[in-house]
Amino acid sequence: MNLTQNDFVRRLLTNRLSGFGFVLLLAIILAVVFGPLIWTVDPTAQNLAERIAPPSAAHPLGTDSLGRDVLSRILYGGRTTLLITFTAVLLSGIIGAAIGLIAGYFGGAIDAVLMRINDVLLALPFLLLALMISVALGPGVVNTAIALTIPAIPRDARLVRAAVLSVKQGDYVFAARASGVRPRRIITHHVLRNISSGVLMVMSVGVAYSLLAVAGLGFLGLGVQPPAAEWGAMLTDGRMYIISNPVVVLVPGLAIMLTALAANLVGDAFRDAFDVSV
Amino acid sequence: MHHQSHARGRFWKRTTTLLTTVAAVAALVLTGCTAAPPAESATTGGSLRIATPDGVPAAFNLGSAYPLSTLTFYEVAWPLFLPSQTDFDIENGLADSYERSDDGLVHTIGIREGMTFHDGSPIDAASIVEVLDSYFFADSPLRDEGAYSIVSGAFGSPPTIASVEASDDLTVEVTLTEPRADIRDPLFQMPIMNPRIMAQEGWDTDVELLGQAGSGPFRITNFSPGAFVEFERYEDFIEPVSLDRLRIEQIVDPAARALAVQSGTVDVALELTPEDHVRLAGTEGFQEHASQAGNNVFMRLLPPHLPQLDDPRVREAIGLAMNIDAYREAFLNPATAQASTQPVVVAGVAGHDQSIPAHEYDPEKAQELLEEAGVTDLTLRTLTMETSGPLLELRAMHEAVAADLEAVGITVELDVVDQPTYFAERYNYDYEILWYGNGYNPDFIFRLFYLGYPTPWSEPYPLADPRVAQLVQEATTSIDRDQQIADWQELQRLNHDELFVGVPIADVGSSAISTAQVHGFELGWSDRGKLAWLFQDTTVG
Amino acid sequence: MSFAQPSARRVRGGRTAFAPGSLARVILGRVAILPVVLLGIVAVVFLLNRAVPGDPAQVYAGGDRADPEVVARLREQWGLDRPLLEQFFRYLGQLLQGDLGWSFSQHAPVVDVLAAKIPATVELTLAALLIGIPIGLALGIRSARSPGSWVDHICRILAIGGISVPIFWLGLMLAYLFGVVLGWFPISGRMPAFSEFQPITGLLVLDALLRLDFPMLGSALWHLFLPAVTLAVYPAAVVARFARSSYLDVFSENYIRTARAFGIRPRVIVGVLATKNAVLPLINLLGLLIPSLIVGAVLVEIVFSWPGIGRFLLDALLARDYIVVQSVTLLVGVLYVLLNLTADILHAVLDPRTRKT
Repeated sequence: MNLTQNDFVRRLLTNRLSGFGFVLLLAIILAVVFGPLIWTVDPTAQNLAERIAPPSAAHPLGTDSLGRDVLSRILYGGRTTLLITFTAVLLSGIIGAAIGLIAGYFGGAIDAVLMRINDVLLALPFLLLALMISVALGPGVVNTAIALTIPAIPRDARLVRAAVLSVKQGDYVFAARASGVRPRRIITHHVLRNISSGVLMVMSVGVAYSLLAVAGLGFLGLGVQPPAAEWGAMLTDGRMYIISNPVVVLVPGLAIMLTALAANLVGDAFRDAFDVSV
Repeated sequence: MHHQSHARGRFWKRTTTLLTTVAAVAALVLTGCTAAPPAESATTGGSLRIATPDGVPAAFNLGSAYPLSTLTFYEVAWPLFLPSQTDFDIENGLADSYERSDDGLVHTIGIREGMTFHDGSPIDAASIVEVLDSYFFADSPLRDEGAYSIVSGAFGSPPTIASVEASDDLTVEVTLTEPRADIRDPLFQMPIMNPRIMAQEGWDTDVELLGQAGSGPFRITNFSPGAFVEFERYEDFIEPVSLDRLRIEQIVDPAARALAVQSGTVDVALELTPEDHVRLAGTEGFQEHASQAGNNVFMRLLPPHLPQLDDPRVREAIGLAMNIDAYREAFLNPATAQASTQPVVVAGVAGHDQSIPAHEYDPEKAQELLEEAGVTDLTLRTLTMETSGPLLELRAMHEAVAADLEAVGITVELDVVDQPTYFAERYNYDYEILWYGNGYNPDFIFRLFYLGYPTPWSEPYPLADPRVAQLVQEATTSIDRDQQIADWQELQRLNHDELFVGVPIADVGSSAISTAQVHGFELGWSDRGKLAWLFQDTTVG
Repeated sequence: MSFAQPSARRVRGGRTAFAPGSLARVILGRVAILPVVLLGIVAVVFLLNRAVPGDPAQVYAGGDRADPEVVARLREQWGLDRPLLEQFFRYLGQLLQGDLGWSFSQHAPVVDVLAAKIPATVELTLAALLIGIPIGLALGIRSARSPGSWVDHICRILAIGGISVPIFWLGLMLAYLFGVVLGWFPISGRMPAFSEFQPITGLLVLDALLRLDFPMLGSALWHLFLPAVTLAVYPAAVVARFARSSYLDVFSENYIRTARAFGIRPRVIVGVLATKNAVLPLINLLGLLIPSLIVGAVLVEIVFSWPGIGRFLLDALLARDYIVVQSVTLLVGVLYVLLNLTADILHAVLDPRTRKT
């Protein structure tokens, strides 16, 4: 991993596909953060007379089963969904990194125990685990975030640990000792540089994964409680009208898919940029 | 370069293999396509395939398979014991006569002659008594589910039944400890199964045994728990039945159900979303069916914790704030949903008071009443499931109710839970406003409605209006049918004029869409028990 | 995916069967740790279930209307009031005897229910893999052959689209298009109505072959097609992505260039070396795919009314029949561990470099 800063950025940006991914993700985040400030329709305003309406001037994306504006609900819902997703990914990244660092650095018994627990958690399917935790905790934004954080921890822990181990076994320690610098400082410095690459990639993919999981939970009625907007719940709402008015289910489905797509592209970009052999 | 050309070679080899495999599979598939479903038998009735949202049980155990959907499969293989028209004449059941002693304690039921169970043994009084015994007296942990729940609801727990006896081959006598005007209503939902089969272990999932357990026009031939049930005509049934075979398939997802009937996978689909129903009803090649409204959907107000709800003006305001016509038009099937003036019973059922006017929607008046009562900061909690039977938009409806109440300044907290949680939580009085659906039994629901639960016979409702308690007690034990009906109607008027504990939403029926090949299919709650409901005159093709 | 660093240690003296780095020792090491991991899975699943609020005895006995005596009796029978550790050992004991518990929503032992429903899902999953993996490989290899080209971009977008699309939506759209509009395929169930076919294993395609019932074979495949294709999209996409990066890695590895420089026949290079080195990550991949396939199966089974374990799992979860959820999670976890073990062993057999870990 001897890339210079410039190399990395250059590789990142010259790849057309990854550029597209970055742009898309940025666009989505901007839309979700600033959109509601521009499009100020109330996402909870019901109008039963105008439910399941096709797109119109007043409602560019139509209305849902309670006559609420879909565009507004997508924007506000995006805030909820992405907030949960990013929080879960960030938290799991931090906790996972901490565990991985401890396990990798100290090695021995601590490593063995932590990694066995890790393996156990990894053996259980992500969504299933998230489902069970969600059922145990109940619905709500905070609970859903927790339910998505916990299953993601082992993945990040394992990654960080591998990075720590590769550094330990690498030449850095030898070189450090040879030049009289304390190994611990070297390890920390190089480990952080090393894991940043992998972590960025995993976190991007983790965003996609968590996003689909949030949608899945919302779809099963376990995520956020109504009337709060949330992409997965919107998908459930619209699912019954898939034939009579597919827009209602198409829009949240597309939102989820595009965001997951963008996150995956970004993850790919990070991986490609750090992977010399590509 | 060499490796590229060979890589290409490998690619083409792989592609060719793939294509060959696909071709082989396609050939096999086409063989399967041309293999038609089994040839129809000699008679012309045909085979009917129905898609339903729920109701294919895990086991055909009466105590546990709760008949949630409008089509209860019991009644195809196990017809109603004591069905009755709304004017209480019996038609088309296992029984053919009903009498009550003057003191209301002994009820005599005559069994129709010549009927047999599907293993050939006769349906006589002795068998019926065996089955009824198991309903009334069996000690089962599943006491309060399915058919058993009817018993405790109607007859109390322990039931006020002293004995059930066969006074002769075709006569059953039910003796009560407390007088009742009429016990046909609770009894009608009890299927009569072959007691010899019920005595055998594992009968409720064994297709062979199930095929012998029935008493109705169709015999079970195949059963996949939670997936489908298949029947064939029982040749020795006492009345002619036209259909040869019947298949009931559970497709939970409403969109998939609509697709099933559209693609011809099934001939009939029950309970589609209102949008799909309307769309298909207007499409060439499909026809719609709708039953009369038989299910009264209403909201009940429970003020146990909130002193603010003790003031009847506040309760009245809640009712006035709800735009029930909008809910009905938005969420219910226009083919079957009708405006309702009162909770608990639908029009035409005993206890319904026709003098009660239509429900008022007046949010301004609601706000005035709230101000008058000095209530500014009211929060109500409500609980619901996502869907229930034909109410596919139950949750959405609750959201709409919440929005209407917010518009007059009342905050609503909505909890959406799964079914078992819902049934476990709804009676614990943590929720102030709850939806209910009730069918034909005014007897049971009035007690539920006005008195506490789960001990419906003892403690009075927290509202504790003495007139209510007195009317309910009188109606329950009266043996004068007219008196009973008058008492129930009085209760309705009390609710509408003074008490405001129940807000009607709509009377709902069941709906179906069928392909044009289906003839004579009816959803017959209008004539309860008529065997047309059991596809007697249905033909396909 | 990178391979482990070569071992820096050397074996002194003669090689024994269980020398460090030997195959036997690696396998033994993996197998020895297996019970610990399995026990861990059981513990986690058990704890999660106990963490769920609500009283299973209450739910079983009928909710709030249940007779408190009955509830108390059930609690005693199930040992719900005993200390947690005792409950755990009791559960463990049951498991070791093959008793997975009683499902109250199905009124049958869990084992029976699983045995009845698993074959349907297995058939669906196998079909999805059989369709998805070759397509994914084809896409990935095509992509790797000309990296950076338009074809590569399109394949990559397809692949990424495949892992991002909501399965439920995809299933319904396919059902609508091919089932309703075109009418080419059935969209519910595994067999035609009123079929009198008697299954043997529960895998209908296999059973039809065994009974030489060719119309039934065709029918089974016909019903299997749409659900399998829906479920195949995700594995195809994942395989495509990994195949692409694996083959890219391999094509640019120094040793391949070196071999070519030495004039070794290209067919040997690509055929043997490339495949062998690309296949290894794919074995690992299979293990990773299984959990996603199970989740995907739930959704596909709902859309196509496929009577498998996925849909049943969801029903059990919503009915609060947690014994079932517990058992299925357990089985999935065990399956995953075993698959990974197999993958690790295969790795060790095929690539000596990985033996020191």
